[in-house]
Amino acid sequence: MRLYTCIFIINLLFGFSLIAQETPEMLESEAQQQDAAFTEEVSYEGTLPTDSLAQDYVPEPQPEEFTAFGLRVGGDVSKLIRTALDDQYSGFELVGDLRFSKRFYVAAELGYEERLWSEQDLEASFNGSYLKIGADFNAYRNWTGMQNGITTGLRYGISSFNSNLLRYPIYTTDPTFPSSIREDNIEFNGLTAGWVEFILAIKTELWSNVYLSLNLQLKHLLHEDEPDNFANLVIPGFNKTNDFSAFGVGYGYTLTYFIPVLKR
Amino acid sequence: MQRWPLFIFLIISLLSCTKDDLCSGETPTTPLLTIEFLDHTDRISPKATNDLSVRLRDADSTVVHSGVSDVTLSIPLDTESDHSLFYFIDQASSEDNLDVVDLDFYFLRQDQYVNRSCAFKTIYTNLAFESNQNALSWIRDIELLTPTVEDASVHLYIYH
Repeated sequence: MRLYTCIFIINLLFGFSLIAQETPEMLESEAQQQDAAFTEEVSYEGTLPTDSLAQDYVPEPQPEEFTAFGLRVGGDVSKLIRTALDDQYSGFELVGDLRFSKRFYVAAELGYEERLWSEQDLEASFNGSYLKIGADFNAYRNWTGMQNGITTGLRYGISSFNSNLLRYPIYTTDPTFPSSIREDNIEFNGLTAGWVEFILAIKTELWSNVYLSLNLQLKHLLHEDEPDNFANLVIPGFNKTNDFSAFGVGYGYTLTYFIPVLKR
Repeated sequence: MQRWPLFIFLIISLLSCTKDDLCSGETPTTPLLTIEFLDHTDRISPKATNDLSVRLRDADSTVVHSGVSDVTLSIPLDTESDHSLFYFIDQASSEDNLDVVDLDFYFLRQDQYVNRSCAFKTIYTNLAFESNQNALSWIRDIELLTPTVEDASVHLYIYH
C-alpha cells in the first residue's frame, strides 16, 4: 500500500475519533443517564412532578453568549509529514478563513507542491503553486462556549505549474525487439489548470484559539493546459488526475490559530 | 447521519487509486506492420502462404513468426532504429524447396503519448521497403499501400 494512502487512513481514523467525542447520540445517552440518575434520586421524595423535572434536564441548544469573529490562519501538517516521509513529494500549504457571519466563512488555501511520478518506467516531475478560494458553511450547532465545526465548503482552485518528462517506455505488444525506454528531459513550462472543489472538514478547538482540522476534498477539473504529446499526470493542488474522468480527491490535516477581531 | 459523506469520499478515493494502473490490451499502442498476401496471377484474390517463416536479419536470425499459412500477417518494426531487416522464408520446414527473400523496411519514428498506464507508443512514417526478390523468388511483387504505420489497417500487399 502506498504511503500516502496510509497517512490518509490514519487521518481518517483520527477524524472519526474527534467526531465520536461529540456525536449527538453520545450526548443524548449521557443526558439520559443523568436524567435517570436524577429521577432515581428524587423518586423517594415523591413530591415533585417528574415531567417538570424532565423538562429541566432536556439539553436545549442554548444561545451563545457571544460570537467571536476573526481570522483563522495556519498550515497543513499532513503535507509536512508527507514531505518528511515520502521522497517523491515535497510541499506545504497555508490555510486561512475569515468568519463573516455566524455560520459562514471566507476561506483560502495557498500552497506549493513538487511531485515525482514514477510508475512502470514512466517518470516525470511536476511542480508549482496553487491557490484555492471559496467559502465554508458550519453545519455543526455548538454548545455554549464551544467553537467546533463540521463544515462543508466550495472552492475554486487554480494552479500554475511546470512539468518535466524524464523517462518513458515505449509500449509494444510484440516481444521481438527489445522494449525501449527513452531517457529524456522534456520540459513543459507555464501550464495552468483550474478546478472546483467540494470540501468537507471537521474542526475541533484543541486549546484556546488553536484548532485542528481534518478535511476531505472532492475535485472536478474544469480546464487545463494540455502539454504537447504528454499529459498532466499530477497537478499541484489538484493531486493525481484521472485519464478517464475529471474527478480528483485530496485530504488535509491542518493546525490553525484563531485571531479574534470582534466579539458580538 | 452526518458521517455518510466521509464514506463516499473514502470509496471514491480508493477507486481512483487502482483504476488506470494497467495498460488495457484494447488500447492501441505501438502498431504492427500488417501484410496481406495476394495471388500474383489475378492480383485480387487472397492467397495463403505456405509454411512461411519470418526472421530478423540479425546475428541470431531471431524468429519473428514460423509456420504461417495465412493470408495476413503482422510483423513488428524496431522502436530503436530507423530500419528493420527481415528474411521471408517460404516452405521453411522443407529441406529442398526453401526460398528466402530479404525484405527490409526503412522509416522515421515518432513517439506518441498514449496514457499514464501505457505510456508512449511509436508510430512509423515515410515507410519504404527494399527486397532482393527476382523472377524466380516466391515473392513476385510487393506493393506499399501507405507510407505511415499508425493503426491496424493493411499496410503492404505481397503477391506470390
